[in-house]
Amino acid sequence: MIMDLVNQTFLYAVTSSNHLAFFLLIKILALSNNTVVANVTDIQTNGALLNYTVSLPLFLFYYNGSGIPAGQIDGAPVYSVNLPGYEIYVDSYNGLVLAYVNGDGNFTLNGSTVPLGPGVYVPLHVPNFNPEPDYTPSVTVLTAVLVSSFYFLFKRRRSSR
Amino acid sequence: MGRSFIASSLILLLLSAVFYTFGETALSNTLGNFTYMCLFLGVILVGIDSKGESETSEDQESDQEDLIIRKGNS
Repeated sequence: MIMDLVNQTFLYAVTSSNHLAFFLLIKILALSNNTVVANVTDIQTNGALLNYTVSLPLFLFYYNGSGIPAGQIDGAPVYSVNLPGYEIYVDSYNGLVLAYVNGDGNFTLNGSTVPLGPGVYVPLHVPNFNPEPDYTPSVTVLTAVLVSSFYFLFKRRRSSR
Repeated sequence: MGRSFIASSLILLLLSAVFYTFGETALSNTLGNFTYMCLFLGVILVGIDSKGESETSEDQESDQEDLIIRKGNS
């Protein structure tokens, strides 16, 4: 399985506080014992691309071990493993990491050239490039209420003097 | 009026900090922008108010001086 990862491509959607932050398109170039050398393309939500080659830990893609069963992701049963700084969700069929949490970032596998298991495929999620809600109307109302409240409060205090 | 804008901006700034700690960065940013606008407006309005008050107090002082001069003449 480990040797199969070379030349495979993974697409991750990275969300932070339930909002899409960016996409990561990762192509694995080489493998060693615990690390992979990968070509990473960072796709920002405004369409900007950043391409770089970097060494990443192998457990972000493949984990061969045991963990706690944690339901299903995209129809594939997964187990969760806590590693220093990471919480990873591993496909129980082939050890592929389907999602991991690192700090504020939530990395979810959005597509892969590696099959998840017999008859289980990663569905292509529809990207949402405008996920940030617009709080301007509600904050405008809040500001108006605050300003008018303070205005009447100060007016009453001045008239009582 | 200016003081009410400045007091509101302090409340908005506190709310912005609270929401930032809970990870609501978009809401925190919006509150921060409104804080800036409120402070900006508030300072301008307070400046206008204080200028208007100083002018009226100067007028009152000159009126009192006129009264004193008139009393002296009579």
